Order: sequence, then structure tokens, then C-alpha cells
Amino acid sequence: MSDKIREFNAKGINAFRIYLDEIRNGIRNDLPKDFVHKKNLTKELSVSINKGVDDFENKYDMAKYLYRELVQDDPVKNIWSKVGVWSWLSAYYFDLVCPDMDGVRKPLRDYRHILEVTNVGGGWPTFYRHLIASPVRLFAFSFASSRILLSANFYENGDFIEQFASKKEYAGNRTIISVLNRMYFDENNNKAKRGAQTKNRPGTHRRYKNILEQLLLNYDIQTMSDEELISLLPEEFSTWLE
Amino acid sequence: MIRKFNYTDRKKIPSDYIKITLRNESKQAFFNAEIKPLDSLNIQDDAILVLEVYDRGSYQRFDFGTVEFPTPPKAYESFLSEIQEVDAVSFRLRAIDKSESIGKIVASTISIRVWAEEVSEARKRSLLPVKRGPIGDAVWLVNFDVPDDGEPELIVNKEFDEIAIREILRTDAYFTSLIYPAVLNEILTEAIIVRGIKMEEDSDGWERKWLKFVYAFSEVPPLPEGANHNCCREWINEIVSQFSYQQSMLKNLLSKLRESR
Repeated sequence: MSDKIREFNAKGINAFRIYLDEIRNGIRNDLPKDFVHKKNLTKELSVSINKGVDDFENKYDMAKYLYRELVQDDPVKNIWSKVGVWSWLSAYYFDLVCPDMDGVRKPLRDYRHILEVTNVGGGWPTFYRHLIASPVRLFAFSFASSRILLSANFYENGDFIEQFASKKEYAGNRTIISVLNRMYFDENNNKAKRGAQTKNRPGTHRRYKNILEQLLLNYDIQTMSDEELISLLPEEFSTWLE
Repeated sequence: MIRKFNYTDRKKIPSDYIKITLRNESKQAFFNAEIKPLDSLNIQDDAILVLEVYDRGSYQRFDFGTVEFPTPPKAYESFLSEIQEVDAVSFRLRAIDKSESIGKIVASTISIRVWAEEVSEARKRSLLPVKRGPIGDAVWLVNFDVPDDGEPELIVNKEFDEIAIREILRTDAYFTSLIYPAVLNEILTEAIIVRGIKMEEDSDGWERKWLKFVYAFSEVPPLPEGANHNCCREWINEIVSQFSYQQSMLKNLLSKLRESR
């Protein structure tokens, strides 16, 4: 399977917004067939994709693939502000980001599907919530270390993203994300370690965030290596680093 | 009262050591930075300099050489690609230890707010930057959590239209009469009760600017030395009342209510 990537125009985005509303209200249960290929709603780009909804093992796999196709070597100029492209990808991979569960689809808020950016800058507070653009951007920031952030289901951000990617200062800090990945990602099972998200347990990711908030008052973590940051963490984190 | 301790012996880089200007070209924002030699500040020469640029939701950083050889980014490298609100942007310059306690911030400026050249003078003089932001279902809030003692900001919900809300906050009696006295109350409470700032303190922080503003418009005598919580609260209430009177807040609101009936 190979498809040219397309970009929604204003009409396409508006139609997508309406369809999301109709699905939420039970008027329909899916996007119309061929919606993503309508010539009056989309424009074809020169980049192709050859992976469909069944071809990704997980969100990290998807982010890595889309990074290679859309970001690496800059095939689409100003890709991070291409609202039409990311929104189109959300419709294209709709079964991933809004799966049919027992006959019902539950789209999240529009900004999870339709990318919102400001004219200037990234508009990070809404950008990071997009279910396709955000994983690809997080992969671009931290590459393999982004696995922990991308360990949730396709159709949700998960707590690692909410805690560590909602602030650009953290999301773009490779040392913070790399140590996060080292502590809480289970390489053998390809998912977050058991208990990593348990509330009130010593050394969990939320405690790590609390400690970072204190360290950031006195340290510029971005200039530090993983080992230098780890040396500043309290003992409670040592079990996660074994 | 919040007391600040300098456990790490961090040095201050005075904000007048760095001059930053902002310009917008074809909807893209760039900055220009000039820096005075830092030799006299007694910061280790090999500490690296980083210029951080941020607003409430976005962040970007630029390498700036070392304390011995500061190197501002070149014009083409100074594009603020990640910053959302480019009318007014906050900068801070930090010196980072790379030899002994690696990563430690050894010196820093306070948060420096820089306005874009095209922003009106009236807006630049404003004590209270207004921004739209994701604040859940709240209509507005005052954000004091601005890094490095940056000035508080009035955040209005991002659901408001950007242009319309500026006009509403300037002229709509429902908004102005209900929001601004409450904002003044919150800011004075934070400055006087929470942070324990006194007028005579020698600082260039936002608290002193607000107290100067208050003394300029009100006839309330200064707070007595050692005033307790209740006394501070009464004093703030009186200031807010005088502010509301001078701005005809109650009168305008009542008139607007009558019109709408």
C-alpha cells in the first residue's frame, strides 16, 4: 500500500471538524469513505507513505516512521506548522487515534485531531496534545529516548506526556527525557515499567518531576549529561535505574 | 513572607549589561542582543552563557559563548521559531558552570521583558501584560509563576478572540469593573502579605513598581512599619476602593446594567 500524503485545505479542516462533532453526537460512527482523498478538500504532496493503521506496533513506531518520511531531510517545508498535513494524517490514521470500540468511536477534543498552532511560534500548549504531530515532534527532540513518552495507546497521550511534554522546557530537554526513559522504560517488554505510574510510590515519574523542579532552580540540566543528572537524584530513584 | 536565600552563591548579571531588541519580519520574530563585557562581575571565565527565551507556554534557548568571550547569535540564527507571543518576550541570560559543579547556574539576569518595536508606547508602559492562555474553564487568572521574578501577567482564557478581548478589557464595563479591582487586590496581596515587600526596599522587582503605582494614584498613607495581617488587608481594601472610585467602576457597571434591562 502506498499513498501520497495530502494536506487538508480550510474546507477540509472544517469538514473534519463537523464530522468529529457528528461522531460525538452519534449522527455517524466513522468518517465518510474516501474523505481523505477528496480533491476539493485536500491537496496532494510529493511525499508518500506506505504504512497503514495495521502496520505500526506502537506509537513510537509510528512517530519514527512519520519522522523519517516527513521531517528528516526536510521534504515538507515548515512541517511543524502545517495544520492541514497533521490534521489530514489524523483522519488518515483515524482508526488508530479514534478506534471503534464495541461499535462506538469517541473522538477527543478537536485539538487532539486538528492541529492548532499560532501564526508565530509553535503554540506548544495545544501542539503537544495532537495525537499525531506531538509523538513525531517528541521523537524529533529525543529520538530513542522518546519511547517512554510514546508508551501509551495511540488514542491517548498518557501521563508521561502530560507530565513531561506539556512544558516545552522539559519536552525539548534531551537529558531530562533520556533519564526519564532510562528509569521507567522497560526495554524487554517495550512498555513503561510496572509501578512506574503508581501514585505515592517513592521514585515514580511524578516524584522525578518534583525533584526536577527543584534542581532547575539551580542547574541548567540541558548542559548536563545523563550521569551528571542522575548523580543529583536522591536515593529513592536508584531502584528504577538498576 | 517569602524570603530568598542564595545558597548557591549565584551572582547577578545586571539587566543593563545586555540590550535586546525584537523585530518582526513577515510574521517572523527575530531578536538582536548586545552585551557588555562581564569581566567585572567575578564570574568564572569558562562558564558558558545561555540566552533563554520564553513565555507562558513556549521556550527556546540560544548558545551565547562563554563569560570570557560572549558570542550573541548571528542575525540569521536569532529567529524565535518556538515562541508564541512575540509582542512581548521574556529573556534571561545565564552563566553555567562547565568545570567544577557541572550544570550549576553560577550567574543570571532577572527576567527581562522585551517589547517588539511595533508595539505602541502605551502598551509598553503597561504594568500588567495581558495574555491569552489555556487555563481550563477559568475566565481569567493572575499568573505570578513567572520565572526569575518576572512581572505578574493577567491571563484570559484562550477561548476569547485575541483582538476582541483586548477591546473588551479596555472598554467593557462588565469586564473592567469586575476584573481589574480583583486583579489589583490579588497583586497587592501577593506583594505585601505573601512576599512581605515594603515600599522603601531597594529593588527593581515588579512589587516595587506596583507599590509606586499605588502611591501615585491614592491618598492612602503608607503602611505602618510592622503592620499585621489585618492591617495590611484593610490597607489593600482601601487602595482597591480608591482605585475603583477613580476609575468609576461601580458607576459604569450600574449604568451598563440599567442599559441592559
